[in-house]
Amino acid sequence: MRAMGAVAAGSRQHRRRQIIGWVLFALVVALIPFLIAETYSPTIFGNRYTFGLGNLSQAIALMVAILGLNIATGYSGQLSLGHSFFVGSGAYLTAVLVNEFHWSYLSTLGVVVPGLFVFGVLFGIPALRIQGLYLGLLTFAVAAVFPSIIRLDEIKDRTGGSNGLLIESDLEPPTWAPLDTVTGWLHAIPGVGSRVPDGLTGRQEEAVYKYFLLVIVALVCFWLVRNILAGRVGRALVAIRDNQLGAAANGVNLAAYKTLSFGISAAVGGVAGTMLAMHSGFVGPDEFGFSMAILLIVGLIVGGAGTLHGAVVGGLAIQFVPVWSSQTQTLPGTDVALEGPYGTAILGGLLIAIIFALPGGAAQGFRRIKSQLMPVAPQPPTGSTG
Amino acid sequence: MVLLDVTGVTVRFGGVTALRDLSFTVDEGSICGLIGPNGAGKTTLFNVVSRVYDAQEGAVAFEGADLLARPAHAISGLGIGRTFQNLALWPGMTVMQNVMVGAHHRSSIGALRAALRWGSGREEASLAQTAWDALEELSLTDVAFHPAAGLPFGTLKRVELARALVSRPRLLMLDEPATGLTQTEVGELADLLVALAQRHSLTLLLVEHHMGMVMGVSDKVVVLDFGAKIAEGSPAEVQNDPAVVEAYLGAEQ
Ligand SMILES: Nc1ncnc2c1ncn2[C@@H]1O[C@H](COP(=O)(O)OP(=O)(O)OP(=O)(O)O)[C@@H](O)[C@H]1O
Ligand SMILES: [Mg+2]
Repeated sequence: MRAMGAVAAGSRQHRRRQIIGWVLFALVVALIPFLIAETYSPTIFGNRYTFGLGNLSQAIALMVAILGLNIATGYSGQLSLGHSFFVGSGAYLTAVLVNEFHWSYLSTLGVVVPGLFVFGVLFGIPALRIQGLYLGLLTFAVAAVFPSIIRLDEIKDRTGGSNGLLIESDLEPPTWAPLDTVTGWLHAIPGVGSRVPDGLTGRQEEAVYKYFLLVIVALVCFWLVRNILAGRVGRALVAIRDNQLGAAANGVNLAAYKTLSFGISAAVGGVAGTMLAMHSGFVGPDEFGFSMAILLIVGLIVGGAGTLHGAVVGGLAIQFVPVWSSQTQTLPGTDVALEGPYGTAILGGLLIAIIFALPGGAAQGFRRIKSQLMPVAPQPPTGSTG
Repeated sequence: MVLLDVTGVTVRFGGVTALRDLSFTVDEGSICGLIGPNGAGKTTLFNVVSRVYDAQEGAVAFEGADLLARPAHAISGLGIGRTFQNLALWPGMTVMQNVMVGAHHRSSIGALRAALRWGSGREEASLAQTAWDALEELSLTDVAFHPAAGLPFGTLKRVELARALVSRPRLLMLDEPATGLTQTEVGELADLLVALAQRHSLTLLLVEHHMGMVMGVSDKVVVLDFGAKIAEGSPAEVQNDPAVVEAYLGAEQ
């Protein structure tokens, strides 16, 4: 089933193929918000499903959360069930800085990233002494107490306690942003154009603008993390995960890299928290409890632990699968009514199916298909004779 | 000149004494064989030198420096490389990536510089080149981009050798490198090891059950039995030592 012959890595053909891939990606990412600014809700087999921009933006924040979790758990193999703690801390830090000090959302990253990094490193120190399920249990306990910490009497005034915090800042698109103009152009395209509204309402404009901000933050996070993981540090983390004895014998400082991986993991998780705060303009204690911790692990596994694309698939999965499954009110194609918590059940079923069908997660499956259809032959380093 | 100096090392695991007051030295530039029946403590000694196991008593010096005061991850940087009896590779990484990790201590780009691509491209290219050269030297380029999982045991043993070589060791400890090889392959491996030792000015500490090979390449052989040294000397001396004959005959009965 080879559609094209293998191209040499780094060759002109390969570059061209990559560029085409990126252009297509950019087009999809840029156009989608306009297509779903007005929530798209098709009826499929008798059920009405929604595909809205709000859900997509939330999924993008979750992708970044999973990206962070992936560093500690997927790459360096330390089971962290407490990632929601970092996400929640990032979100609350942003909320407090915006409300009390009138910072802009994005500038809070200047505190969130270093703050959460230090926090993650501290968190990683006890993790040096325990491994596997015990580490899972310890981190899970940390995740579980987050909502109670937020409700503590001592800090309740700051954090809003059980009521959460409404963030007093709107993200209004700058006047130069041609959102309305682009919508007009798209509307004018025959066929597809009918899906796009004639113009955007104020709220829709704001949602589209937020989406683009979140996409940019996410792209920067993925780029930075990819750079770290593609080289020496990434290899050291995987070496620790797959064989500690071999890693240490080859000069990898286990303690330093494990704590480093928790630090980076937490910092990226904190950014995801900032993104969630930006997205909803609200933070509440129960959003960041252990159910989020578990959901992130599910996303990591469904998408593919130890791969970057897995975080993208995982974020989409944990956002959309529960929504769509709760919208499945009758058995598809029949009148038989479904009642009860089907969302979680379907997510659970999906997890089981993925574990059996694609042990490496969805990303692994995509990768296999891609290497079949568009094989790339890795090349020896340029200075070599062979 | 003495490169590795083991003095009075004792290692106990609960009731088992894996090494008993073991002392011997390895001269720079020599090939030293370390033999003994199964369970004699050979691998345990490697693990003491690479700081995986703690010695209850004794000292180990490398070029006069106290090895036991160093953490495990500092050992390769001091110039000691090793291969493992049962392999310690990373199955998910390609052979090339496995070998690149061998040069970890010789590279320095950390997370921050890597994130910002500040010099990481250049270092990565030079690591890849180093790894490729080692793969060429060991005729492994055909499997360079193959994941380490799924390759034959003998090939993986050579991958470990390549990984150890790129760390530019001065002392290379090999734990049963000939396992799973045919008679002719063992002969080739012996020649290869001697050639590598010369080309890279290596000192070798060789654990091997294949007597023909050990006796053929070693300048000196140390024999262990139940954790204690029972003989030490040139291959000829050791082969005729009654205690050694006894230990091996005893082990075979
Ligand atoms: N981690 C450990 N815990 C408990 N006992 C151990 C451990 N490592 C080694 N031993 C014991 O120490 C003794 C020496 O083992 P070692 O592996 O060093 O032998 P060896 O000479 O390498 O044998 P072989 O030729 O079979 O590889 C054995 O009795 C072994 O069971
Ligand atoms: Mg052994």
